[in-house]
Amino acid sequence: MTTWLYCLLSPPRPDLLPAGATGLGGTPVRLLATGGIEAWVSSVAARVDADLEGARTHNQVVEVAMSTGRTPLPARFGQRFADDAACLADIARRHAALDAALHRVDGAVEMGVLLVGASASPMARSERPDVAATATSQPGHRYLETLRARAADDERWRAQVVEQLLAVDESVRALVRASSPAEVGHGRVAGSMAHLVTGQGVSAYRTAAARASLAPGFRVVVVGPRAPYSFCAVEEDVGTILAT
Amino acid sequence: MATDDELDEGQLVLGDLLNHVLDKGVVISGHVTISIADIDLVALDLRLLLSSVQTALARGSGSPARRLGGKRE
Repeated sequence: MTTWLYCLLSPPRPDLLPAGATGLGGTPVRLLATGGIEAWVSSVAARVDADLEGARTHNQVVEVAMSTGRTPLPARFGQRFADDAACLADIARRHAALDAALHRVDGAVEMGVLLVGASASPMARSERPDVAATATSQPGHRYLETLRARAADDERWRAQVVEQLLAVDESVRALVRASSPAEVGHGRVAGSMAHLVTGQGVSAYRTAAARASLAPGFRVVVVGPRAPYSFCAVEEDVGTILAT
Repeated sequence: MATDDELDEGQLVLGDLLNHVLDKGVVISGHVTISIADIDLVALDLRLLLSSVQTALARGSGSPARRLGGKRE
């Protein structure tokens, strides 16, 4: 068995863990604590599939932690430790950075907007761009011109999406503690953005986001409140593996 | 009964939530194994931060090559 991490909270309040709270595979959620930080964990098998149900269960435990009236620092799905001692040792080693992150999100929730566009991005569409004006008899040249035209279309699309997200950001700015970078998508969701909002500001956020002035063909779907997944960056001297 | 728009929005919200659970949230350390259908896709002994390329580019600075570090198990 290994120790699966769901989230971190501060200060430790073992009395607030609901009786019968379960995590992945129905395993009981337990609390660990070190240096004023509480970790919600459960003992899981060495192999856990990254399936929809697992991700939902992970988030449900985080939501239970939110229901205790504190703001959890949600752990990214998939973090397992050899045992409780290993989990505590890693928390203790990064204590200062984690404590700072917990203070940053204290008393807040994450709200977000999904920008839904009338049409998909050029990169997501299957049709080729119209390159008749630039086509030549040379197939290689034509191919490269096609790529260039498609990239230009995509760049214009991205700029338009970012412009809409910044309009939403402007509309809610007075209500938020922090904003995440605008993210551009390629599917049904043209882009998204998250905001850190105090618990009392959720209703006003919904209203302000819905009032943002958007270009025709765009609308926003407001999501949240949820745990501050987008505001968990912990600045540490760690390397990065880029996984595709 | 839910309308098509409501069902559609529900799917969008669920997709966004999954994106958050799998690609955001605090990373401490430990051992990460991501498996699908009993096949281990990624196994990392972390003193590292695992991130998608899109997230790393959105948050980071400089070229992806400069941010490559650590070693893959």
